Amino acid sequence: MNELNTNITTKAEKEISVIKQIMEDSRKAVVENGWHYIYWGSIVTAAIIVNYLMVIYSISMYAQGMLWFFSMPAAAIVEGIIERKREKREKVKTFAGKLINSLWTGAGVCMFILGFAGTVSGAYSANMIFPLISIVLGSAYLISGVIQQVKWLSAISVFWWGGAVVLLLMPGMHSMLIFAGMLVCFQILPGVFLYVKSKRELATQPA
Amino acid sequence: MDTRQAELEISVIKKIMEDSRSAVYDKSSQGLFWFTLTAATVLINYLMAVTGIGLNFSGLLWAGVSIFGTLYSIRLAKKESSKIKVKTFAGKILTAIGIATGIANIMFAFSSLVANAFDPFVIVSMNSMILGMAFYILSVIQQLKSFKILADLWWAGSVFFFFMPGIHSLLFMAIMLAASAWIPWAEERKLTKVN
Repeated sequence: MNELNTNITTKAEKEISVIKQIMEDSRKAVVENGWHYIYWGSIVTAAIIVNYLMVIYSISMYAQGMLWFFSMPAAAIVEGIIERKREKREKVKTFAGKLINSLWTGAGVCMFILGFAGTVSGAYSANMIFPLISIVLGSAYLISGVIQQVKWLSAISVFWWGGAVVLLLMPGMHSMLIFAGMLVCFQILPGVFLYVKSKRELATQPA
Repeated sequence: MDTRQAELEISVIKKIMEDSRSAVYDKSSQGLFWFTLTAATVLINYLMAVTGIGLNFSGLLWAGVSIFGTLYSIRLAKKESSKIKVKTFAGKILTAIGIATGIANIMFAFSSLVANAFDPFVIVSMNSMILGMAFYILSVIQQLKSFKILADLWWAGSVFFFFMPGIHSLLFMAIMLAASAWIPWAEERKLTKVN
């Protein structure tokens, strides 16, 4: 009887440790995601600045379209390669990590539709891409903050939506620069903050 | 660790996980209600536009539906909150998805009707696009295949109606809204019966 009890206890302890591990893994996967914000924020900001210079130097709309058509899928492919390497190294795919992936993949599809289908079909002018993408980003940040359990990340959505209203009501060439500024303030900087925070948290966690 | 203590802890953790899952399904009654109500209203609006009958009352129809929907939704929420005492993680994510999608759709309407960014018919494409994102995340949370298929259909419809905007986009919207409410519901029931 005693032996049976000991077996049950050992099994129970093992199960609890597995559940604890899952929960800790989940947290690690979530806090490590800061680099996505920095990666996409930097690439899109760089593309916007190049696009802005193309407009100033009167380079054709076709060339401007091609800039986005090639740079965004290329950035997505590079991200996919980096992600695959990371997954191989980490081995475990957590639920929270899957949620974040699905959220930003979904948001990426939306931005792709807005950037390409919307403009190619002539549904709106190119200047309108920025406020419309800001609306999608606002929604994505609100959900992201809840998944990552970081309240200030959800609060950033207010700035994205506020910026969208400003860009909608005052469209023009400057929309590009305002949007680039928004990317730096509400995407790259929060990404850097999350990255630094996650590094600190991982450093303090026991191996 | 004491055997009883260990068993208790496991049962608590199991309960938390089950609560989480049931909270997702309980919350879906709100989605079911709003999607069905909106599908019916969009369909009536479409028929009004196609036949030309009662088109002047279109605004009144939406106002009435909004008031009724909100009141019934509050009643439903009160009923649910008395049943579910704990706010679960999955429940919080679902609420966030609902709020984020709702605000985005309002802002798309604002973009068209106030800022004149695009033709009002394009609003359907915008709504479809953001609903595609919502259903894509839901496919991971609820782990139902139908959500993933619905997400793809919303996105395909969005792209299609960017190129072919028009009155018939409302019919697409009505069908998709009804399908989005009832197909996952049927799949979930089927899975529950099997398990």
